[in-house]
Amino acid sequence: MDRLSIDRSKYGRFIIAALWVLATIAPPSHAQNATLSGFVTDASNGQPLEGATVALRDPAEGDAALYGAAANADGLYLIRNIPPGTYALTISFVGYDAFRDTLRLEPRDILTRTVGLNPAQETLDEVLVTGERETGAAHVTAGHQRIRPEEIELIPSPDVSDDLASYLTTLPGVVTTGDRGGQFFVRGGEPSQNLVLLDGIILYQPFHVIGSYSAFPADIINRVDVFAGGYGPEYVGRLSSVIDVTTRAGNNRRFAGHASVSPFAAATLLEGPVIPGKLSFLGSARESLIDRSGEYLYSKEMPFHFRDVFGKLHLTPNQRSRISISGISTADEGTLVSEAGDIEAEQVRWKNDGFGARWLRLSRLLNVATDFRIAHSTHEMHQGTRADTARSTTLTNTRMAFHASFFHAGTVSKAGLDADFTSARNELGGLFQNVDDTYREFHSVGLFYQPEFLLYGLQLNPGLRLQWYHVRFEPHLEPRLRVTWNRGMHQISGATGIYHQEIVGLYDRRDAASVFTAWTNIPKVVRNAEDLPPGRLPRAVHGILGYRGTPTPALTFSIEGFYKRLSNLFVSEWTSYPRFTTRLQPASGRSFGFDTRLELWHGIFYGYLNYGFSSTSYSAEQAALQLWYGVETLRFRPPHDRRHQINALVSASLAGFDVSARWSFGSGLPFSRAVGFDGFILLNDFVDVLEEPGTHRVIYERPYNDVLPTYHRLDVSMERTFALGVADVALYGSAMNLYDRRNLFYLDVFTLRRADQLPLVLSFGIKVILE
Amino acid sequence: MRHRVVGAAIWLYAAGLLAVYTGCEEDIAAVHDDEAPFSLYGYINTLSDTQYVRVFPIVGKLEPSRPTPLDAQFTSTDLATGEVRTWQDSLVQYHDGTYGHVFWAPFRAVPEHEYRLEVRRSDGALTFVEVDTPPRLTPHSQPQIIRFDQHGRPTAAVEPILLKGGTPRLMGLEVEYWVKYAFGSQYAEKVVIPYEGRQEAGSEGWIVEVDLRRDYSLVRDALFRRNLWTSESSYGIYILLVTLRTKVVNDDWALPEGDLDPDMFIEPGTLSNVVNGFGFVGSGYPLQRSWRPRDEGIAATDFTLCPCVEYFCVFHAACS
Repeated sequence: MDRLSIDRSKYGRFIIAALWVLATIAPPSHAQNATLSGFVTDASNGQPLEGATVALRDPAEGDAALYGAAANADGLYLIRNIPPGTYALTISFVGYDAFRDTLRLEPRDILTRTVGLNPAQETLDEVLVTGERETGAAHVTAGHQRIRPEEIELIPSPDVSDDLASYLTTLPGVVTTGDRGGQFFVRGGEPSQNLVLLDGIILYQPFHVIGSYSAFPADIINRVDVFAGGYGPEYVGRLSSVIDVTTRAGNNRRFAGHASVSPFAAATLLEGPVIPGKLSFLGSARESLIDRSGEYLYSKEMPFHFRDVFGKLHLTPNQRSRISISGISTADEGTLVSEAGDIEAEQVRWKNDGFGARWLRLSRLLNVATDFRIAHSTHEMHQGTRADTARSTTLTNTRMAFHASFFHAGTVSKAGLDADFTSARNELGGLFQNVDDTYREFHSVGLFYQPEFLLYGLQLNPGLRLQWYHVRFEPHLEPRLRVTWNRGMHQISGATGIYHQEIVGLYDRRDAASVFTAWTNIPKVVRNAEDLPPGRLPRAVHGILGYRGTPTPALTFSIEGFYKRLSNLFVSEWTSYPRFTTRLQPASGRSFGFDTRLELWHGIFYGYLNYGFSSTSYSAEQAALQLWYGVETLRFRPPHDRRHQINALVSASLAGFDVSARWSFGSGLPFSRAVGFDGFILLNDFVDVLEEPGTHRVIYERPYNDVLPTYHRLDVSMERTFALGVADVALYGSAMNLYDRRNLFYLDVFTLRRADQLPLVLSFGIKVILE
Repeated sequence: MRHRVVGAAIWLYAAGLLAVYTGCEEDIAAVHDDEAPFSLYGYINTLSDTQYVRVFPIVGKLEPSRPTPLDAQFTSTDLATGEVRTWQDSLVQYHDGTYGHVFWAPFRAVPEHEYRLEVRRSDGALTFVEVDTPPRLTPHSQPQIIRFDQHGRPTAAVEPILLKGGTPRLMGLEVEYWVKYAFGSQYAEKVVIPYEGRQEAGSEGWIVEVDLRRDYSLVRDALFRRNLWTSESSYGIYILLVTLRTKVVNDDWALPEGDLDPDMFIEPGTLSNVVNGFGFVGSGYPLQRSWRPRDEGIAATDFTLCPCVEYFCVFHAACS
């Protein structure tokens, strides 16, 4: 094929894509009709009420709604194409008193009704138990699961302060390194392939050095959207998954807060109005105590320390707008391997700082809601001895996004424009290695469109993203599709899409369960690097198909299969030098598996059982492989290929106590077991062995030729809350790793030095809650 | 009843799987292959009266080197004569502070003999390598050859060097030019031109054709890259001395052409001839011959015959 025909093919695709967008973006509109829009919130605290229904009825027609909409996650709704006339407006939500009003709509009216619903006190308790649940352990739709803070609170943790990290470890497709230095692998992907967002701020290492904690304490969360794959075009730049955390706004009506302490951490949260009904604040701070309390309480040195601070301002300037500003700072420090003989202790420390602003606005003239975000974040990570930081990586990211939602009859189309500016600096040294310094910048810009169609109970969300990455001038096309079919108790869902990622996270293969990640970009055109396909971004194709059944309101069952095909991957070079560099070698891979989830919620009892099977393999394609191993392509299991996972949770309210028990199991992770270590001198000349010291060398048989021991653990917790006048007091006790399993956290495969996860730990805590 | 049996079987199967996967195994044992005790690096120099080989122990953990004794006995056997020698251990501290064990023996290896080097640990574990030594070559200058095209213009000015004595492997074949190059130049400059693979086998040994005419442009380009070639250089490049240099090595010492990537060769088993261990021990010796080409040959090239600069050489016949 000549160059001209290649160009024609590319431009042909662009023209088809543009026609497709034009054909769907502009739905028919009747010029004389009116529009009603606004926000629905909880009047007692200003929180958005997702799922609140807005209905317009003709009073003469009785109860049948003529026009209606459901509020989205921001509490936003919009009804368009309403013929002029007089309507009865009803805005309702389960557990709240309905709002009723009469509206007179004139031709071309664009009315705004932002409404705060008051909680219905007399029925609230009942509603909490019997209301239709849209979240839960088995509520997964084409890889998407929405998590609410009340679900996080069910998971046993070492602390009275609950955290998203504890919940994520129970998801069947998520593999973690355990209760230290949380690295998350989602359905065969690597941690660097996960997009983790907090109010639009990218966080590169949001999980604390103690794995039960993250930058996301449960009490600042409004919702978490976890996409294990198949995510829509609004997300970009990662191959594997999305963890999109949206924090809640502070209470804009009254002050509230709490403080808690346990041997693991102390935490506090304060929120309240700055301008009542208009401007609120939310502040949260935590600091670990286990590094100080561990030796006294558990007679064991626990050299791990973290802190995090979060703050948010939320402004309601008028009925049509919401403005919020969020900021976060986290810091972690931990000893990976303690001092032994003349080998110094090895430490890792990292920090994240970020802030972001969001302006959500309903257009005064068009049937459009616009969402403008700007966010900036930095990430630093260092690893080495106290005296010498052997490795460090620094990342800076600034991103801007302008998204718009177009409202049609019962459907919403989305479009957006994003710009991302990222730079990374690495300094990689080590005990037995040379230093490799790199500085990279990689910026990208893109736009997307995602319409929505409803056809005979089928919800179709096709999407397309055009993304211009730093690596080449021409854009990358990323089509996406999400499909959901609902009928009665059954739901069938599926998703597929093409994803690219320019930034590459490299892990040191000398450390099984390594935490340190060096960030770099793929090479641009490098003429002399025959092994590397220059300009080709790491690419993933996702396919997801799932079924969910709810035979009774108390029982939900789901099964979901997935397949990911990965190409143009870059992994750390194979070398017998005991060192870590950002030199890359190409690889491809695939991952497939399935998750099954069974969830039971009945009366005082809640429980679920998850099982996940996954198989991931990579194929390295380096020219030297023929020389080393006698094969052109080396197939291997990457270090996160956990084949089997089981998570079981049982929770109940007994005699005023909330009791939870969780058992988790994971089969062993692959690692490269060294056969031995010697020295190496390159004899490319008459080398004087009296002068040339040579270098250390590790002798591998094959990469990832063995597996680490299995992981399993039982955690239990108990909590009771007492009402003491103006404050509630919650007492909490837990036992982590009840049968004291020696689970591995970190293994230096060169020195065979290991660090284990938490032993049996009894913990207790107290929390004082002020409303 | 049948459902109960099936149900019980499923539960038993699940329990069995659970038992298998949640076994009590918690430790990670080293799998260091204790039968392969050493890695060896070095070469037997048939021109030297003392031989040296570096010995690395193959260990189960990577640790900084320490000045500790090495449990190793090193012997060599001349397989042609049966003569056995015991080598001495020496602990060397290198410039980077690390320590290493270099074994040595005071003997001159005989060309075209085969030596077996054995390193034995006290428990009997043995690493060995068999190394043959290359024949002794002697360089001889051959009559100069000047080739012309059909118009009588010189196309090559060749100084053939015969490496007499056989055709063993040559490593790092190169020609070094010492030249003076510019007006006012006080110092000579060295330019090395690779000649890897340019030898040809003859009946008496290798023949290397040093082509002065071809090399002139390479020398000039090298000077240009060093920013030494300026407009004043119209004076020309004057050859002081030409040296042909190579290493005569045994056949095992087979390096690929082009740039050597240490990352490729460090993989165990790559360029290795050691049995029951790793590393490489070769054999060989350096060989070189220096000469100044005859003026007849130089005149057929773009090198200048004028040995001096500006007015100092106005009376020199070659500069007129």
